[in-house]
Order: sequence, then C-alpha cells, then structure tokens
Amino acid sequence: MSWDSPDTRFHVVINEEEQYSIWPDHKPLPAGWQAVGVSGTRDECLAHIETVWTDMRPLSLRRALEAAGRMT
Amino acid sequence: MDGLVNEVERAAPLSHAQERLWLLQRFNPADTAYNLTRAFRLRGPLDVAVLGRALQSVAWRHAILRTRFTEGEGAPVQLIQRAPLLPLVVEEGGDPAARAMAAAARPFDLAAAPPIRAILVRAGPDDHTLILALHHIVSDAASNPILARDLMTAYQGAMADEDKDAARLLPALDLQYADYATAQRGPAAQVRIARAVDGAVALLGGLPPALDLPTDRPRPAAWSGRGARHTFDLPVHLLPVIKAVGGAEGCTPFTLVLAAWQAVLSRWGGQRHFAVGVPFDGREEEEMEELIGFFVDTAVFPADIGAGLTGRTLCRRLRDAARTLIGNGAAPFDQVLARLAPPRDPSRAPVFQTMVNVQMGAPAVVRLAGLAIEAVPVAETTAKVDLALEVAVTADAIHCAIDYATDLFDPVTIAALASAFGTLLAGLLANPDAPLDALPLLDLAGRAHELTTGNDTALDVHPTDDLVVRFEAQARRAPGRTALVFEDAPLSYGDLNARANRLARRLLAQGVGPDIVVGVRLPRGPALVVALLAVLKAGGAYLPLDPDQPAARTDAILAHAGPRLVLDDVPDQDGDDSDLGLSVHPRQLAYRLYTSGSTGVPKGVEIDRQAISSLLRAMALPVAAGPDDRLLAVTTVGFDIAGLELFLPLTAGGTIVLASRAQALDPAALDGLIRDQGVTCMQATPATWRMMLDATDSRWPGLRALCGGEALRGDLARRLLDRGVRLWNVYGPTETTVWSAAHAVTPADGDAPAVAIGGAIANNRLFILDDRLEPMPPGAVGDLWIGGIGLARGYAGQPAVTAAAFAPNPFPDAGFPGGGAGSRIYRTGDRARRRPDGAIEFLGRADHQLKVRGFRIEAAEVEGALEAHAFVRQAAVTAHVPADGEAILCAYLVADGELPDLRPFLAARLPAYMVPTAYVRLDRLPLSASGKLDRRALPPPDAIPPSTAADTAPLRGTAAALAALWAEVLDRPVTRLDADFFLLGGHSLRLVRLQTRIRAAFGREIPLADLFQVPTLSAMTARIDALGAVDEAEDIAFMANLLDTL
Repeated sequence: MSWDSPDTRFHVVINEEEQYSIWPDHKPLPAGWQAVGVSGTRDECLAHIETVWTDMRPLSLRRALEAAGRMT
Repeated sequence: MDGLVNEVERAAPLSHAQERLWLLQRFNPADTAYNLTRAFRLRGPLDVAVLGRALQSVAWRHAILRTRFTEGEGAPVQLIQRAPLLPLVVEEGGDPAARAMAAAARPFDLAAAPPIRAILVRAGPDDHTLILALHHIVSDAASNPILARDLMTAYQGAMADEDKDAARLLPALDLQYADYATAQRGPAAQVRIARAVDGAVALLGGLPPALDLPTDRPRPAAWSGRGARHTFDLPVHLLPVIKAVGGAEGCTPFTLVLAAWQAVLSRWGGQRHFAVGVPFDGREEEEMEELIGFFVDTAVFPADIGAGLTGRTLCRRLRDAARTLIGNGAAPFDQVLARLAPPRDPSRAPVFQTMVNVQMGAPAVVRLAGLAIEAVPVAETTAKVDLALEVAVTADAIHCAIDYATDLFDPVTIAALASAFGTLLAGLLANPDAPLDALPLLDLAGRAHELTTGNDTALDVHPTDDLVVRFEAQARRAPGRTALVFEDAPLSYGDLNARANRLARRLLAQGVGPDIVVGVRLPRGPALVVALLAVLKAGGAYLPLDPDQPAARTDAILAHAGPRLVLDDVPDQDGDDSDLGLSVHPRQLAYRLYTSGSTGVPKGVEIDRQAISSLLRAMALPVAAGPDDRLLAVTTVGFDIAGLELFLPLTAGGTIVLASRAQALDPAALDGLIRDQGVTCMQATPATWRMMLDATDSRWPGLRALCGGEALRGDLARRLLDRGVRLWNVYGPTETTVWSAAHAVTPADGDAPAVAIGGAIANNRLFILDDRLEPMPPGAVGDLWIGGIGLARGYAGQPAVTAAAFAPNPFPDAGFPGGGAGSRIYRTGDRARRRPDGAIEFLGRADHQLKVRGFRIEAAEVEGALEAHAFVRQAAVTAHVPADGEAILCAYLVADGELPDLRPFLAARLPAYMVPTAYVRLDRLPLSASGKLDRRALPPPDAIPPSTAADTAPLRGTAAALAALWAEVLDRPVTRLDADFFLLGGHSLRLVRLQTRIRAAFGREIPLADLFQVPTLSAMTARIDALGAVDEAEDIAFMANLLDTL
C-alpha cells in the first residue's frame, strides 16, 4: 500500500518530543515512534491528530520553559 | 558499384516489414542501426577459394541475397539479380574485432547492390576471421542458423567436388522471400492482415503514451541511432524458478521477462502506461523455415501497470495478450503504425520506445570440417529504440543485454537499471502475489548505499553557534567594522548591536520571550535589521510582513498569527545597550513565515533557532563567507531566503549591502551597487538574475552568486558564468530552512536544460523515495524527502497539515543532528533523481508538468528553447485548455523588436509536440512577491492566433511551385502557407515521393529527416529558399548525377 493510496491504513504515532505523525500500518514503526492506539484511513488519523495535538511545541522546549517559569 | 549489379531476374513488391526498414534507411542513409554483422574466427586449414564458392552458392540458393531495393512507381520494389555477386574480400592481418566493427559501421546503399558483404581477415595460414555484414532488410536472427547450415553444407560439397558449379552445390528452393512478399500484398493476405491489425490496435486501446524515462542528457531533436550495449547475466538459479512459476500459469519465460521489464520501467520513470515492442518471427508456413530473409516483425504490447497490480496478474494479462496476438495472425507493424497515426516526432521511435526480445536455446553454431570455430563478439554501436532488452535463455545461463541510445543514457545509469531489473524479476518470482510497486529495486547493499550517498554531512551545532551569540561575538570583536550599508550610509557592528539591544529590552518589557511571535512590518532599511535582531535577542520569533504586499494578505496573516505586537516603527530610544545574555533553547522559535498554501490558506512555517543557526554555519562552508565579504541583499523579508542575506554576513563579520525596494527592482541600480560597494556575494531568484543580465553588459568577476527559489535553467547558468561569477544553484523549501542542497555550477551544466541541485548541505539528508518510502536506485525518479536539523517545527495551528507533511524518519541515524530516532522527514512534493555523477537533479513538481496531446512536457525545456532565440528575452510556457477543445501549449514572450514566426526555429530544436500553438507577447512576465514566475497570473491566450493575412494570400514563387508538388503527391489542392503536409494526408512514403519531386524541380536534395522537421508549406518553402541559388559547379555535378541515374 502506498503512502498516497486511499486504501492505505495508518496509525497515529508520536515521538518523544510529543510530535504527532502518521505511519502506514503495514510497515514497521521507525525507531523513536510509538503508536497511540488510533488507526484508520489517512484522513481519519489526521482528524484525530487535529484534535489531540493542541500544543505543537516540542516537549523538551515546553519542559524547559516550565522550569524557567518556576525559577522566575 | 556497377560491377555488383547485373541483369534483373525478377521484380517484386517489398513486404510490409521491408518497406518500413527501407523508409527508415531512406530517412537516414547513414544509419547503421539495421546492419546485422556477424564474425567467426576459423582456426585450422581453410580453403579460401572453396569458402568463396560456398558463399556464392548460398546466394544462388537464397534469392534474397541477390536482391537490391529501389524506388518504383509509387512504392519501392525489390529487384532480384540473376546471378550472385558476393565477392569474399580477403584482407591480410589487422584486428578482426576492429575490422568487424568497421564493417558494422559502414552503411548500405540499398539501391546500389544487394546489402551483404563478406570479408575474410587472414591473421595467419591457419587463423582466419569471417565477417558477414547484412542489412536487416534481407535477414533476421532466425536466418543465422539457416545461413550457417547452408554455408557449411556448400563448403563441404565444394571440398568434395572442386569442379561443381556453385549454382548447384545446394538444392534449389521452392519458395523465395519475394514470393512471401508478393503473397503478403495479395488480396487474401490483405484481408487477413487487416483483421490482424484490427486486433493489434484493439489490444492497445489507442495510441500509447511515449515512454518518457528520465535521461542523462537532453533528448536531441532528431534521433541519431547512436547506441551501445550493456551485458549482464542473471543468476542461473533463477532458471528453474522461472520455469516453475511460469509453468504454473502457462506463461513462457518471455512473459515473465516482459512483465519484469514493464514493471521496472514503470517504476523507474513513474509512468504507468506505455508500450513495448516485441519482435516475432513471421515464418508462418513450414517452407518459410528454410528461408533467409526479413521475416521478423514487431508486435506491440501495452504496458498498464496500475497501482497494486501483482506480478501474477500482469503475467496472466501478458500471456493472454500474446495468445490474442498469435490468434489474430501477424499484424505488420507498419500497418499498426499507420492506423495509430502518432504525431510526428523525429526525436524517438514511434509508438514504442523500448523492446524486449527473448531467445530460447543456444545461438547457432557454424561448423566446418577440420576447423575450430568461435563467434567473435561485434560491439553494438547503434540503437533502434531508447532501450532494448535482449535475453538469451540457454540450458545453463541467462545472458542479458540492454542496447541503449547513448545520446540519452550514460553506462552507469543503464547498469543501475539492469541491476534493478534483475532484483525486481527475482522479487517477482519469489513473491508473485505481491504488488509490483512493492517489489524492491535495490538489493540490501544498494539500498544501504543509496541511503548514505551524499548524506554524510553531519556538522555539530553548539550553543555558541546560535546566530545571536555569533553576531554579538562579531560586534565585540570589531565594533567599528561596518555591519550594514543602506543608501550609502554605513552602520557599524557596535551601533547595530547597541540599537538592537535597546529595542530588545523594550520588547522584553512588553512580554516578548521564547515562542512569542512579533510582527515586523518595516520598509527595507537599517531599522528592519535592528528589529529582526531585537526580536531574536529577546528570545522571540519574528513574523516578517512585507509592507508592500496587499493589505488583504497582511490582514489574513495577522488574523491567523495573532502576534503579541507588530513593529511598524522602531524609533531609537536611550537605554541599556549591553547584550542581554538570555539563555536560548535550541528548539525555541526563531521566526514564523507564511507561505501560500495550495488550498489558498496561508501556512505559517515555524523555524527554530537551531535550524537557522545550523543553516548559517552550513552555507558558510560552500560560500566561504568571512569578514571581507559584502553581501548584496535584495530579497523581500517575506521570503525566507532573505534571512540568509542578512544573517550570513552578520554572523561572519561581513557587511550587508542592503538594497532599497526601489534598487532591488532596478537592475542598473543593483549593478551599480555591486560595482560601487565592492559586493562579493549576492543571492537572487532566476528571474532577478535574468533581469540583471538583460539590462547590463557588466562582468562581475569573482562574485559569488547564489541562484535559488526556482529551477535554474542551463542557458541562464551559462550566461551568468560568462559574466565571470562563481555560481551556486541552491535548493530548498521554506519547511527545511532556506536551503537544503547546493550545487557549484560548472560550464558543463550550461548544456543541460536544468541545472542539478547538487547534494545536501551540512546537517541535511536528502532521500529520493518511492511512494512506499523506499529508496530509488540512482538514476530513477522519485519523491524528494528531506531530513535533518533544518526541519520546521510544522505549520502553526495546523496539526493535521503538519502531520501529513512531516513523516516519521524510517532511516534514523543516531550520529546525525536532527536525524536520530524519533526524527521526521519532510515531503517536498518535488520529483528528483540522482545523476550518474551523484548530483541530484530537480525534475519539477508534478503539478508543473504539462500534458498536451498525451505527451508529458516540462515547461522549462520549451522555455529554454524559446530563450535561445536572439529576439526572445524571457519566456514562460503553460498548457491552456480552451473551453471548447483540447489542451494547447501556449508561450508567453518578452521580446526585443518585431517577433518573427518562432515555429520553424523551435521545430529545429524540439519535437513537434513541444512547439507551442499560441504565442502571447507580454511587456513583462508576472512575478510573485518573492520574485518567482507566477504562472497562474499569465493571461489566457485570446484564441489560437488567426491565420495571418500572409497565410491566406495567393501563393507565389517557391511556395507556389512547392504547393504544386504537394498537390501531386497528396492528390488534393494546396492553397495555404500554413497547410501541414501530414494533416493533409501525407505520410512517410508520400514524403519520399515529394523529396524526389523537390529534387527534380529545385535541383536540391533535402534529407528526409529535414523535410520531416518542416511540415508546413511556409516552413518547407523557407527551407528550400535557405538552400540559396544552386551554384554552377554544383549544378553540373547534379546534372552528371542525374544522367548517371537515368
């Protein structure tokens, strides 16, 4: 199943920076990515991401800013 | 020559296949693509005289070896000479292989003598090489064993009986090739052929699109026939698998080979529909199996590699197609061609541009008593089509060869294609039910190599590499040095840094900090640079807003971005001007920049500090920026590449020569700045560079020139190099931070239609992938994906769009900045391939590709040809679909002086289908705010330009005389200058007749290939007039020739 095929099914995946993406379900997940448990067509997966990825800052930056905020 | 011609025993029509070859030879008399040359080394005692007699006796037996071909009344005829005249030319010494190559490279004059030559090279008393050169029109591959067997029989017969007449050494044949050809032209055969042609055309379902593989060099306007052969073997262990897998489906090895070849070509160029020619032996009757002659013809198999198609399904489909074609009987290709009537395109073979031929069993062996005989390979130097695959399956080997056009392909590319074919075939056999799109094209080693090639660009980025830290270090080191010049006024590093620090403190007070967006809407000037630096120093992210862009667009961006504040005016105020010394997180935003989204909604690309800081270090490597550099900044800050123009000098201790908006639009002013300000470096789009070249004659020796934002065409590269610049073609989408690839342009790049984008700059990884995210072999077309530290965070407030464009990186590399586990890769939407020299070639966006009359056309190629005309300054080409018709190609031109009819000029450089139909003159080409050609702003052509008065005026002079000749061969009146020979029913044979009449009427020989290029009456008239008056000496020579032929 190709990346652009309407029949391809994807997983919603997330990395350690809590950035989201999608990955075809027939290919092994690349290192550093985990499936969040949602899968479906490309559009279904993207619609899910649209609702859950509310803070697009990388986790490391968010944590650093929170730490700095506590100090000041 | 006359010595080889004697009394004619019989005249006969040509077979369909012969007629086609005759026309091809007539087209290009010097072509040797259809020479069949064999060489055999004979060791042992050889009776040369007996061998000569044996050869004669073979020609006695096979009348085709006594046949020459000439123009008859309306159609060519074959004339059989009563007696053979086939001398065995004996040569002493010399390299037999070289001698065979020379024989292969010597064209035959089909009218002068039977096209067969025999040469015996004598290296020693017991060491001879027999070279037999035949034109394909009198033989084919299946003729080889017949010729070998008859020669052997005749030699043994002549040895046994020295006195026996050569004419009687071999038994006479009941049927000759001429009988076959005559029968084929008979009414019964024509009915059968018409049915077969119906079937062959129905199988194709119409004219298949031309196979348009990416080439290593631009395709010449006319086919040259130059070629070479790449040989390789497939692993012999595939042999039983081929038989097992094929046998289960009733498929021959041919079917499997054809399936794999179709699939590999489809994958290689990303084209799902095309056609493949397959030679077949037309010896349908048993008695024909005894005959030497040209019985082979070509069947056309459609390639239709739909998404998800499996190898098994394709094999079944091809098996059924083969059965259908066989069931229909032989369809001569020339008849199929006439029915399909493809548009004339002298740059490639019609209908199919690739062939497959599979031979089962060992090749014919010549045996002569007392002699050890081995075949001497004759190097292939011609090509009939772009790519032809020959496979010979024997009991213990699978020998393969690819004959390819050397005008188009380099050996490295063909070797990679051969390897991909073998890998795909093995994959198909191992997994016939897998989709063909999913089969690997690379073995494991090749895959690993592709992923690493050009991607070993890691460069550590430390906190001290942050762009603000580097700028402040420069300001500390040399505060008095000039950081910026604007309208002749310098600003020092110390003053610039102090102003930026003061503003940054005010911004901090207003709540600016990490990931806080600040709009910067300032005209070009020092305050703009102060503002950008101040936002970064305060830890914020700047949002550049071009004050000259339409207010509606600015409003849309502000509504989406919601910046904390917008800087419209930054009066300098007193305050603490020391560096702020804030800590910087590498992932905090540096800027957010809005690009036009394809859906019409602007997309806010967010770039972090480590990305821009890495880019500045990376670009300093090829460009070698240093304190002595003065960079002329011309680009609007709304375009991300402006960041490089400002920050590259400021981080390297150099000087920004900041062009005002008025200067940036005025090529003379820019030229003046380069000269007066000692500019050493400049970056601009191709449109800006072209504007400067057109407006001035200045030379800019040593200027380091970066050209990017759009594809750089070869002609522009050459013009820039001619002005003495050192030129880089730079490439990159906004989403991967300014540039991701750079190519140092050399004069050789000027010959290509488009200049390569080279390789990845530091901390970028470029991947050319198929649509399953697997790497493509070198030379094949794929999607360009980019990984590395430069990747944007994403699109602000658009998580779904971000997730769709930025995919998990399936090729993580722990040692690569921004490329380790959990990293992402960005899909550029651009197509690309790796050239034989390793540089990456940008092949345009799929949506820029034009399609007219089924042909895929890259606008850049046509534009380059237009701009080669002396009067054309700039050109843009689009496809226009009128409300009531088919797409036409439309050219938009900025020109000097009166514009002539460009069509003849283009016809000499481009295939006919690439010559635009409509021409629109513009004062300037529409550019977007970022300086790129705005194709969508090109006006539709009013209409196809009406015939000018000249086209309908009464014909005079040469045109009138030529029109009369057209009328004779077309059998219809010809009254208009814009009449097209082929649209009026002309075809190849009629063109031959016209050529003959032109020769008689004008006393001038115009090669057929040239006539093909000038199909309109006006163009052909111009071609004849261009030959000028016949001078007297040539006139006499011509008359003498004419007398000879009478």
